[in-house]
Amino acid sequence: MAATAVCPECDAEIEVAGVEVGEIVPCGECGADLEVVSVEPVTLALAPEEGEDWGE
Amino acid sequence: MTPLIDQSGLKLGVLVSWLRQEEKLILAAARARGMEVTPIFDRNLTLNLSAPTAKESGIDIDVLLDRSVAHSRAGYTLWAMQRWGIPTLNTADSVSICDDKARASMVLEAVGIPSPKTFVAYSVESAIAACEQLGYPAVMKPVAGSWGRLISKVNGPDQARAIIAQKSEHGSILHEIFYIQEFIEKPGRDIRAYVVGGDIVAASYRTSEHWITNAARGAVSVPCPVTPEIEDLALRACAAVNARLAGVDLIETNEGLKVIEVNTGGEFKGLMTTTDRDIAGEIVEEAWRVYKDGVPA
Repeated sequence: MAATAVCPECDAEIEVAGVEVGEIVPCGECGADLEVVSVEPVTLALAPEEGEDWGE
Repeated sequence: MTPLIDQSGLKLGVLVSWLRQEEKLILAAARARGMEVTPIFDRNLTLNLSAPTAKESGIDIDVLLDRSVAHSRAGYTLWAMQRWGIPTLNTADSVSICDDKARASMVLEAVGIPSPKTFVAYSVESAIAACEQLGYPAVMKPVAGSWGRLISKVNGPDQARAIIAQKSEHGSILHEIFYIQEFIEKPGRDIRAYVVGGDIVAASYRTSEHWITNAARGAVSVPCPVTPEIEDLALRACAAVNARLAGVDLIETNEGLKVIEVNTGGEFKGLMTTTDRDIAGEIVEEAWRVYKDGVPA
């Protein structure tokens, strides 16, 4: 598994060792929340926006 | 520590919106017990309501653990599982009560659990009348959603009008149901008591300089001893809403503890930093017991 992936928002390189599909990782550069959409290689997409009925 | 029981072969579905640290721990705990665990992403689900079984709708599980943060998606999924005879943690009934603050308040009041004075109103004038009866400041919350979002402290009628007007512009009927509570001055903290299967796993103080003390809003969790009062109230609150798994939020007042909310979503990210208990392990053990008990009649 690649240890880094590219932020789709700001192109920063992000450490992603050990992540799983569906996990959310923050971009340390731009602060965007990113979702792991695949592994081997790890690719990231902007995380879904919170819905109004989301919560605990 | 929870003893490892051989639960090999149990097909545990974990309904998620995404994988947070908590869900990763739950998946790992299930795998450690030999369960066949599958994360089920709510947004990817296609529920065939005409299918006679979950399996024929493409969901091959024995029991479902709900960890979705999307209340509507979780609700319909749990109802579908109930229709197909798949036991769930928690049940659809329990989650539908707890995901609606007004319904939950009614249930807690009905069984005499101390909770803040609460009004529900449907218009600007009736909401202001509710604030006047409670006295200012009052607290206005959305009936659905959590994480401390859109919660307002209302200091007077002018501010109440402004907040209500703003809520009405959200375009959702839910924001025109005004859930209004007395404001209780708290000692910079509230209490999260975590209940799994009729037992308190642990409790923590959630401390913040802000009057909103949700962990999602940056509150810091520190250990809290489980007193008989905390245990009694948290367990009674869970029993009232039929929750087998919940984070119960309590507030310290001059009149003793009061229950603010029973969260069937049961987040434990803050709490787990304050205890040695294996919360994820206890949750999957409870999912196994739910499977053994079957769907409630």
